[in-house]
Amino acid sequence: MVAAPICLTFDGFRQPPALPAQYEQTTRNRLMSAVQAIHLKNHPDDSLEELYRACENLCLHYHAEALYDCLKAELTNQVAQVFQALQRDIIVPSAPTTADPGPGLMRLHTAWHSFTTQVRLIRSIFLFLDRTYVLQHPSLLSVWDLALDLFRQQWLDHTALRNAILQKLMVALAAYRDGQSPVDSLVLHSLIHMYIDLAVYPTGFEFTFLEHTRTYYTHESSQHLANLSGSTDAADRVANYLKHVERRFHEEERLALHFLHRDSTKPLMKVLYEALLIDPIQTLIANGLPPLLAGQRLDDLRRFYTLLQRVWQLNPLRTAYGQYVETTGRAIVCATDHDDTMVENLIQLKQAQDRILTQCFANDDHYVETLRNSFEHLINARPNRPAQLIAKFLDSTLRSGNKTMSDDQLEQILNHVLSLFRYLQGKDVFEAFYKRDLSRRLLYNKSASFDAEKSMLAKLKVECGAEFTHKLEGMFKDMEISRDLMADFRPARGGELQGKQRGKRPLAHGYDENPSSADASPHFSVSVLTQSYWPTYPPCDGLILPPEVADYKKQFQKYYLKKHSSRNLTWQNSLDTCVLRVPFTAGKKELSLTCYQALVLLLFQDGQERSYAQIQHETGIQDNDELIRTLQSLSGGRYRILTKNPADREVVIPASDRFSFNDGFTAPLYRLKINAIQFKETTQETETTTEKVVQDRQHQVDAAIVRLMKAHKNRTHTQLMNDLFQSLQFPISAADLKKRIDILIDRDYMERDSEDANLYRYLA
Amino acid sequence: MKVKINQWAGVAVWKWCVEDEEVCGICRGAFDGCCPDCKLPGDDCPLIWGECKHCFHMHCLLKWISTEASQQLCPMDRRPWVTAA
Ligand SMILES: [Zn+2]
Ligand SMILES: [Zn+2]
Ligand SMILES: [Zn+2]
Repeated sequence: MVAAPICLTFDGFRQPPALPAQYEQTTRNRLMSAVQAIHLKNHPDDSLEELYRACENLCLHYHAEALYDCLKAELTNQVAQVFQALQRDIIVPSAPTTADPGPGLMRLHTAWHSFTTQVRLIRSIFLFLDRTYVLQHPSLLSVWDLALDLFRQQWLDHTALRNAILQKLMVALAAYRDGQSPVDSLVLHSLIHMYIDLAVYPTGFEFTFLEHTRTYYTHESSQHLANLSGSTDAADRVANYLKHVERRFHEEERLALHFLHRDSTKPLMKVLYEALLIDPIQTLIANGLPPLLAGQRLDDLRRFYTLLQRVWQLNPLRTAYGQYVETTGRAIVCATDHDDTMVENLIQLKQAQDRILTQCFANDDHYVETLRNSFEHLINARPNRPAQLIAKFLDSTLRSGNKTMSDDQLEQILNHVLSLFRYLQGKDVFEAFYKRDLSRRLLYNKSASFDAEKSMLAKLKVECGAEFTHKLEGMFKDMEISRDLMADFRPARGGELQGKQRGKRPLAHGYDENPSSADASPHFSVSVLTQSYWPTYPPCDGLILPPEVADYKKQFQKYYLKKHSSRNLTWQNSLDTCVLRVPFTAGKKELSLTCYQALVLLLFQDGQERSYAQIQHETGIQDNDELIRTLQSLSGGRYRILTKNPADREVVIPASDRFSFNDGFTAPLYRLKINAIQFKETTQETETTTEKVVQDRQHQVDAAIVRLMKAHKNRTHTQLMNDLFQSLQFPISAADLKKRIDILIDRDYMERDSEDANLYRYLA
Repeated sequence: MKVKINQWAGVAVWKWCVEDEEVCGICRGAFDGCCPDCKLPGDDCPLIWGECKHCFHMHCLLKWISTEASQQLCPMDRRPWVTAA
């Protein structure tokens, strides 16, 4: 067709010379016998050059139409012969459909190959015809298209043959998928492209092929996933299945590239997506996801995510992921028998999920959000206790004795804890317990690292705002101020009561690590606390302190009140701590004691035995629980400084027990810390702390109601409730809010509208 | 036997010399807290007493006195403010 313009100019200029009679007939016969020879795979008598000239001559002498018709008739005849032979060779009525598709396909391939080769040759002989006559008549097909069209008509007419071939192709392709190759890929390629060349590909091949593909993979998928639910190796099976699917995707992409029309890739992959992943998605997720998550099988999880991303099914996976985390976490939080490991387990869960998010779920924003929601739900599944345990966990982390950790490790743990804390709804509960623990670390000098304390405080500040940490910071400030006071204060009686300054310990008070020689004067110190920062301690009046201690305190109080004339100072003797040097027969020991322990021990310097009542009278410890605990710690613990009579049981019976100093006490170490029953968390203390939080919340609710009513003057019940839920920082029920509103109405802060019971009015 | 005291660490709590329930007449805040502009009670946000015996956060009172409307009067009794010695 490229030569077309030449022909057009050529035609009008030159009169062709006249031809001999019979020339047309003879020449046409020569050409037709050449076409027949080619069909029979013989050499034509004339050379291709001569045949081309012959065709050219006929065309130039206006015999093209007859020539075209003649050629068409010849080709029609030839194609019919081809199909007769194919029909005879390929259709074997008795053969089962699963019979080896090889020979039949090979046969068609050979026929098709020969046919196209021959037509190409014929086309080159009749090139001039194509370029002139055919070109001038748009309704006519070129030689090549004519031949294909004739082939197509036959193909369409031979339904049985067509079906047989399609069937064989499907068998061959299924075998190909099974990893066998009964049919040469070249043959497959050639035949599939025959459909394309014949313009029958979409309906003649592709449709059936996709249907077969769907059946094939639906079957494969159900075989792989049969009886999955409840099976012990579900994780492995799903993992292997996903690997298999990944491989299948890859293989089918290659198959499409090698054999199919390029437009088939998309529909083919869609069929695969549906059959292999989308249809069984619930089975895969329900049986595979939980065990894969539990086993932290990162590669498998990453594959799961990537595959489902490819088929746009990330939502079902995400939902199931959120449920898994929530269920697992809830189990940890609600395992009341394992409170001591709750925080550790939650940190582990969180860390594992963080790792999975990053390494498997591509830090997908939606997944991050889901994880957050799950943690918010699970950690608040139980009121108060998680907040309390998180505070407790921090306490044990920040306490000295935990010096096995490097600063980096410590910092890391703090970050993990914070990542849990973030989800807590009752942050006030946490604050109350954290504050209580911090106060102990500061007062008893138990902090492992000042830097870690400050770092934790800074983190809490970032997380909850400055409001949250004011009081905690105030506690540190008090300790600093106390240290400065100690440096400034000079007691009157010369050196004996001199408060020595210690610079090396940032957390103010506690025992000197290396007190100067044993005979040096005692070292006194005082921590002055600002009441509103610290937990409220029960008052303990009436303790009878050693005279030198009482004297020191008296002098300090005088000094302090002179410095701050508008202040009161109240001693919290029960929080005092001390180091006593006690002579036992086997040698002296330095004992670290609480105030109560010290007061009791000091009584026994006279060597007398005492009853419980005597001890109570002489020490002034009125609180029986405290005194019993104290006596138990001195007589029944690891170090028995006092001897209890009778000694047959550890429990102290106030009515009958008597106590004396245990001269014969021995211990391998020189310095001993007498066990701290008193420091241990008691249930009562926990209750008090929780109660305090409840009270604080009540005050906050009252204040919020009054503030809102004052601002708005009138508010409907719904409006007020919504405002309250928004402004309050802790979980609270509508019923509780309603109770507080009623109380405030009773107290005349507000009233119900006389006509509309749902409307509240503020009363100034 | 004779026990020797090597160390003794005492603990005390300070409060302003005001009644427990008393609040600042200007900001209505408790005295064991600080004025609305401050974060921490204590040295940084002290109290101030007038000769009239009324007590306020010092910051609250100074702010009040500096306003035109105050006419330098105690906000509670409208008598000229004189800080107690
Ligand atoms: Zn004020
Ligand atoms: Zn202030
Ligand atoms: Zn006044």
